[in-house]
Amino acid sequence: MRLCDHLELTVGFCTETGPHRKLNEDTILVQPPMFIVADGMGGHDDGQRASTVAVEELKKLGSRPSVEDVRDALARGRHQINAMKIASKRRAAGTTISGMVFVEQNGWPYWLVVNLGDSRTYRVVNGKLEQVSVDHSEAQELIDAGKMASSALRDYPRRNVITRVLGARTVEDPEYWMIPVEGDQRWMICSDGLTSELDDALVAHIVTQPIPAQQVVDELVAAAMTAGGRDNISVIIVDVKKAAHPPEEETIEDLQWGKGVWD
Amino acid sequence: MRYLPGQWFGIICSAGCVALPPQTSHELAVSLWAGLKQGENFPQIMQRIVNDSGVSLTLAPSFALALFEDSSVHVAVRGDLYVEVKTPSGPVRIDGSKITTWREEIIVDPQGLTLVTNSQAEDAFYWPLYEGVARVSVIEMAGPPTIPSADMAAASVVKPATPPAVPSPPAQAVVPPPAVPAGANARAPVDEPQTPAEENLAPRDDHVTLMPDDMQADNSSQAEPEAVQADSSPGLGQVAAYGVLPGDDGQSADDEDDPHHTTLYRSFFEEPGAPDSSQADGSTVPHRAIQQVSQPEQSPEDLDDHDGMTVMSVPGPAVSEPASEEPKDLAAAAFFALTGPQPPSDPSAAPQGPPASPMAAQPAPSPSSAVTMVSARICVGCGTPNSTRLMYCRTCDATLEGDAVQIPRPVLGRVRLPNGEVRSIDQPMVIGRRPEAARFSNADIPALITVDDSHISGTHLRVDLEDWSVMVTSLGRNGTILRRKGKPDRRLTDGQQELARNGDVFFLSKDLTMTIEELV
Repeated sequence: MRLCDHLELTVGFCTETGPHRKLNEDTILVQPPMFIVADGMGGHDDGQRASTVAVEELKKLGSRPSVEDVRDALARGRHQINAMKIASKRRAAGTTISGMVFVEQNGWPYWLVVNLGDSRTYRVVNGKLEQVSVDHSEAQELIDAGKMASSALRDYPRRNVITRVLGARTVEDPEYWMIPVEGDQRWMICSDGLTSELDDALVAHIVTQPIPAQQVVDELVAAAMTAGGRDNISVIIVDVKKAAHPPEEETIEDLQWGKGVWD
Repeated sequence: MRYLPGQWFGIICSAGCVALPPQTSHELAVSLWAGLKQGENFPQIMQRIVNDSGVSLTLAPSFALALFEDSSVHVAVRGDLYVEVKTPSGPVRIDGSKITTWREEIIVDPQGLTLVTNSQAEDAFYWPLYEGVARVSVIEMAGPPTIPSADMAAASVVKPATPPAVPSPPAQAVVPPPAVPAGANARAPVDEPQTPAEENLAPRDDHVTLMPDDMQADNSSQAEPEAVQADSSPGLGQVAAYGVLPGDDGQSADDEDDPHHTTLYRSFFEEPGAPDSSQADGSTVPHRAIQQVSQPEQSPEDLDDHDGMTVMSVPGPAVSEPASEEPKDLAAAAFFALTGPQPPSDPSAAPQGPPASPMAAQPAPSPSSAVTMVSARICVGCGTPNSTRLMYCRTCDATLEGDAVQIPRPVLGRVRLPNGEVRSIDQPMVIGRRPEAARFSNADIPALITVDDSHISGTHLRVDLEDWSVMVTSLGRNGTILRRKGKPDRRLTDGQQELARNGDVFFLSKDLTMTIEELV
């Protein structure tokens, strides 16, 4: 699929209930320019509905949403989740959100990375898998505070405790990143059903293989299922490729302070 | 305590205060008075307010509730009114407008609070009030009850040197007659030296947990010097309203290894700090999530939910003794009755009667998350908002007087970019060849300014707004030269941050500059 004049995307995705769950509380959105994983939580089917509500709000955005559009859509999603009639008497309904939205800033293409909770967005940089989003989890806060090594995260008994979420009767807002869209990038978005089952090293190994996006997704999901598959597993892989006309050559000409002015 | 007369009902007691709109029934006002006097806790008082409106959230009245709890104040505001709490690190405002439910926060170390309704003040003068119910426009309270005592008589004979090692329940405590108006530091000075530092400064209160250290940086830097050196945990001004894990009870905040001094989830109807669930769990808090699985009464869905899956960090409502279950369930039922029936866009969600409040109208993003507020003093002469640092108005030089108010942050100045473009400094900016912005929130969405020149870094300079100040951070590989009037040129290296001054010229490369102009 084509995102704009110069970029071509290949996307692989999968969301899998897993052998131990009755419901898939994850909802994914693969609708260019948006690629989102939402991992719902709550009793009964509340979590499933919460993640769906959030994604539905994003889905309504047109093909060229702005940062503000995304922000407002998520605020509406949060509002709806908080107003939702929920089945569980014990647990509030909420959802994580992680992923990326293609936006333009002053004519430049950007990925707006959005995150709330412990689903994750990664990118491959120089052959290495790098987590862009920062978890809103108890474990991450310990790491940030220097009280725990990031390598100890998977063994932390309360690694599933998150500190911020969309909904759950809170007014938390997501955090954002703006990353320039460049050719030949690979991105991965996933729910914690993947990352809590698999070693970082194994995930990185699979993702950085030079194989098509859907094949990467299939391998990741299969590995997570083999490892236990205790939670729902959702993965989106987005491969960004430069199309025929690389953006640099043209845009430099467009800029009023192009090279000639300064040299 | 004192108040400005108005139309609202102010129910005021040493433990805290409640404000309710003019149409409030006599029964409700009296019931709240009774509740406050009996020393009811926050959820109990909230239940009185909320239950009165029946089942629909849209029928619930606007209200403000502020209840002192040990070393903090627990505030809830619904509707077009606000509570401002004075803290060592500055005022914190809890504004209830434009929210469907209510805004709730716990503020640590309150030194007085002001509750402002939307009712016209009917008198220009404050009237003193010790306790009681009055028709108010504004309520000011000096601070938390500081001397544990059963009644006024006892209060007068308490030896000032008695350290309040174990604060008594709020309702039994009595505030000494405020010698100074609310807003001045009304903490009994005698408390300070005798009380061990960690008791005084750390939120030992069960209801509050520390934010992670990095999030406290701002507060700690502004805290009074004694607060900083007295305790390794920075003195907190504000902690958002979060529930707490049962294991926190009684643990001191300077316990470096305690994994639970982190942000946890808010949970309105949990009785914060109720000991029930910790008893159920024993002391092995880290295994709570696992232990919940073994609770026999749990439904299969709930079992699934705890099996390695994401959970929120609220005290587990699933584990509680039958004895303590009841009040929780009542409160929970009240909440669900409230949140259930009305879709957000329902036209009946309009507020009932006066005060006309925009709340519940549209699911708009909360303004507090998108607009940054700053403390300002408004010039009486020309109306210009001024930084609270200034003694004279920046426009007309008139002497600035009066209390600071919270206003949306004005434009702080202008910046002249390498391409000649001049921008107002009203949002953060990131400047570079292909600038990247990391980890920002709704309130600080940056402008990304692309300067396509091979001599500068992909992400080279960042301009941030902090309160009334403009900060410039050099992020580029080669650094940035700062040319400041009257000073030799200086190279800012990676990550170095500089408080911008008028006329500062930042050289991104030999020829590319960014100039700061017209700072307020």
